[in-house]
Amino acid sequence: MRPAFITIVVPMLLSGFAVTSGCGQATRHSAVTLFFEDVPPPGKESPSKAVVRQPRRPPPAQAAAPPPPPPVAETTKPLPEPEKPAVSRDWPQLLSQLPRDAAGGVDWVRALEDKRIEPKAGLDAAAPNQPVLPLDVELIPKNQPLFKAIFSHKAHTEWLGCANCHPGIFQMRRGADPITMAKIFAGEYCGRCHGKVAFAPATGCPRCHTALKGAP
Amino acid sequence: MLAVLVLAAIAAIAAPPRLAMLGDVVFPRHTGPGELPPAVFPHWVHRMQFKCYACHDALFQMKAGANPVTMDAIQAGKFCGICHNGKTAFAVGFTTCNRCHR
Ligand code: HEC
Ligand code: HEC
Ligand code: HEC
Ligand code: HEC
Ligand code: HEC
Ligand code: HEC
Repeated sequence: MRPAFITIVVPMLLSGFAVTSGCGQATRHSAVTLFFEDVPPPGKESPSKAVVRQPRRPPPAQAAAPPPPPPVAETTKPLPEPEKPAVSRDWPQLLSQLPRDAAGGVDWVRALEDKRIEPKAGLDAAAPNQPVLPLDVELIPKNQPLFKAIFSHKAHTEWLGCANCHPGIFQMRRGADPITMAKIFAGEYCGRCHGKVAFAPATGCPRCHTALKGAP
Repeated sequence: MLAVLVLAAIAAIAAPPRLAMLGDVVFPRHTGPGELPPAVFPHWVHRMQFKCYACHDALFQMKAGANPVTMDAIQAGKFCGICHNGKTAFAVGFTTCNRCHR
């Protein structure tokens, strides 16, 4: 009974004392040095360095480059330059930010005016723009002045050259071409572009017939 | 034949959703309909970067089907290949087939 009591209770008391003295400001140093090495006396810096964990593998940039593979065969031609990657932007994102016309389609004329897009004149970045002509032509159907259509050379020549329209599609004389709505819907005259690449005739009445603006 | 089938399968799996826009010109397959989807020319993405006269009529006539575009011509640097060569725009390669054929 007695030896068992001593072997259990005495070490418990001793370690209890050591642990509680480790909590006191003054007695901490002597108690802690009992268990750990390299404890600095109060007020001094630890001589040991903080352990900083490294990633298990060094990051790839710092990895030593593998030795170049031995040449397999002698080449007479120099290796081609690695091509620089083509610049790519998020075009759908840019598209979603462009101004819209009353019918909900992209208003390319305003997009260009506001410099939201800056299309180049040619493959060569230095290619000069073709001349812009500030000439509005009024196309007035017989007996239907309400349906006067205004053809703006300015809006068109920002995008197109004279040769895209003259003389292939239109003559250079007001009223020289027998344009009608039926022909436009059939893909002739203005319909060569409108409805295919430029805004559609079926939804764009007031853009051509400016007197219809505001009408449903 | 097998290669085209495999490519078509890849194209069908990997093709991301595309915008359908006014001005998309679909090239009819001049070799007849096959497993590969037809090539589409989207005007909108090009006209953000080029005026009409950059292409018309120097590179392309303004009429669907009027230009004898083939894959051989593109890879020889003609038509679409004038730009789609890895410098001005993405090149023709196994990862890009489905950007045009969709
Ligand atoms: C791309 C421009 C454009 C759009 C869009 C357009 N028109 Fe016209 N429209 C014209 C031109 C050009 C004429 C012929 C003017 C002339 O006689 O010289 C015309 C003529 C007309 C005429 C006169 C009769 C005829 O058939 O030629 C009517 C009516 C008319 N348009 C109605 C409409 C309506 C309705 C819409 C919308 C559904 C519309 N237009 C959309 C350009 C346009
Ligand atoms: C998008 C097509 C288009 C483009 C590009 C274009 N025009 Fe025109 N032009 C027209 C139309 C349409 C008319 C009217 C024709 C008619 O009434 O039959 C016209 C008429 C004219 C007229 C006659 C005007 C009048 O009052 O009699 C002149 C001059 C002219 N264009 C010069 C030019 C020049 C110069 C350029 C290049 C800077 C040019 N056009 C680009 C479509 C175009
Ligand atoms: C060669 C192609 C072409 C032809 C032919 C053409 N247009 Fe256009 N037009 C365009 C393009 C490109 C735009 C830019 C807007 C767009 O793409 O939606 C435009 C824009 C317009 C606008 C909008 C102008 C603005 O300030 O917002 C009007 C109006 C117009 N066209 C009328 C006509 C009429 C009328 C005719 C026929 C007499 C005609 N266009 C023939 C290509 C053409
Ligand atoms: C820059 C756009 C573009 C890319 C990228 C592209 N193609 Fe094409 N491809 C076209 C056009 C345009 C045509 C001509 C229209 C037609 O005949 O289908 C065409 C035609 C074809 C044809 C029809 C036969 C021929 O030789 O003209 C095949 C097959 C074809 N492409 C396979 C491919 C494969 C495989 C790839 C990927 C390695 C690819 N294309 C990449 C645009 C492209
Ligand atoms: C990057 C070159 C490029 C640019 C820029 C471009 N186009 Fe095109 N355009 C094409 C090609 C390619 C075709 C299809 C030709 C074919 O099918 O053979 C085409 C076809 C067309 C067609 C015929 C469509 C049909 O359904 O018949 C019209 C109209 C047209 N373009 C107008 C325009 C207008 C207007 C602009 C400027 C707003 C423009 N294009 C800008 C390359 C271009
Ligand atoms: C004048 C130069 C030019 C020509 C010619 C041209 N492209 Fe492009 N194309 C571009 C540029 C630049 C881009 C934008 C590429 C990018 O940002 O990744 C582009 C983008 C495209 C895209 C969009 C790809 C996507 O993932 O949304 C398609 C499809 C395409 N071109 C097809 C064609 C076809 C088919 C032809 C021939 C009929 C053609 N292009 C001719 C310059 C051109």
